[in-house]
Amino acid sequence: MRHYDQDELTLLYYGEAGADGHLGRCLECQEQMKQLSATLDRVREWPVPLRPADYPTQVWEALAPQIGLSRKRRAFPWLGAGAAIAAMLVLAFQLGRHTAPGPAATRVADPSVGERIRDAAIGDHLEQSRFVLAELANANGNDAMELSAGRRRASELLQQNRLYRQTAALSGMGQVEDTLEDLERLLVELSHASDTSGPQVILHLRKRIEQQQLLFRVRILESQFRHKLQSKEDNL
Amino acid sequence: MEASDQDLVARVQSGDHHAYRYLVERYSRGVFRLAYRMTGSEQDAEDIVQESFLKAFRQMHRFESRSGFGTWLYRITANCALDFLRLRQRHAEATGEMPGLTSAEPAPDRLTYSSELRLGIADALGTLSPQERAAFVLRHYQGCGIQEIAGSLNLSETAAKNTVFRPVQKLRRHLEPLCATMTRTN
Ligand SMILES: [Zn+2]
Repeated sequence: MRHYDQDELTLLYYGEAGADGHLGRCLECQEQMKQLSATLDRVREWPVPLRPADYPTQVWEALAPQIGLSRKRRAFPWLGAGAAIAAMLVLAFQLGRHTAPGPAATRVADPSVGERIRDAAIGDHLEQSRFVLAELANANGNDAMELSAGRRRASELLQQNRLYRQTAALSGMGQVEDTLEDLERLLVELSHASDTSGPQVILHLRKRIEQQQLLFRVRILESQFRHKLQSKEDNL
Repeated sequence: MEASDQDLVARVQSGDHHAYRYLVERYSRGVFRLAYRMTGSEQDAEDIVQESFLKAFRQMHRFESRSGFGTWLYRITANCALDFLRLRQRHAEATGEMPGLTSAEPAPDRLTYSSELRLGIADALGTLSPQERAAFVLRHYQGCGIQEIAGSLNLSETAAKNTVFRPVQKLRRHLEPLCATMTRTN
């Protein structure tokens, strides 16, 4: 009499194979099955972190602007006043820190506030850039609409990107600077692409994103900034 | 009466993009759960949620209602997560960092659930390759059949079977000693 092996029991557990009667007769296989089921049943209980009650709305609000519908709520609440103001503050803060004479306290009352604004602004910028990169990475390459929307957003992001890259350079954030530099080159190319350049351009840009792992790097940095802000807020 | 998925899909396909909202809201939690189980990280899961809905929206013109919208969407999510895991693995290999497939993030405690076992599961899932993890999550939590998994992950049926078997073997090797210890100490 041949017993079931582990893989056969797995198929039985998932209902992918019909029992041939052996299981009903064989105590040894029943014992094996009991153990396998107990383990897999426990794995099923692995909890997923709860989402807030308004989670579905949150998901929609973040998605809507990416598909050309109403504005999203900001994921980085520090930027209520808008990215442009934040960007100015960032630069003012950084330049003040690096050029103005005198004790730091006379320039910025609380340096950590300046850092928080800076980090929130860069985090927000990374998030916006990630949307453009993700869209580009998913573009099917024959949609002129996609290119023209992406191009518009790229030129908006380009100004900010230059500012934040300089800020990163001044703050000694090498990894951020590197990523923003690669991002900038891509944004420049995207913002210069014309409607007639068509699918080759999208393909070319997509390849660049892949080669430089740009989407991934932006995503990692963004989550680092988010964690940093989160822990700063927790410490307030 | 709530509109059916099929009605909503038809509305989106005919240019009523606002109708997509109802589909997004209906499936957001399910997509998050799948993405979380694949990545073990809340933040990564959130990114994958956005990417999946965006991708589904862009591909909506290609969707035919032979399979349900949910099935189709989850397939997109699984593939987004799989791409992400592969990228993370390659990145880890290139930089010499930990592959980071395990879940270090705390999940909410359940009274009946030992945190030790929870970590054990996260650890065991972390030892799986991206493809194994995808196949296992689809089979175990999403209830997809082997054939469906083969289709979703572009595998032969035999390969899909093996890609489910290996995780089961690994999980048992990891968890059964742990469960035995826990039973003895309880
Ligand atoms: Zn037997």
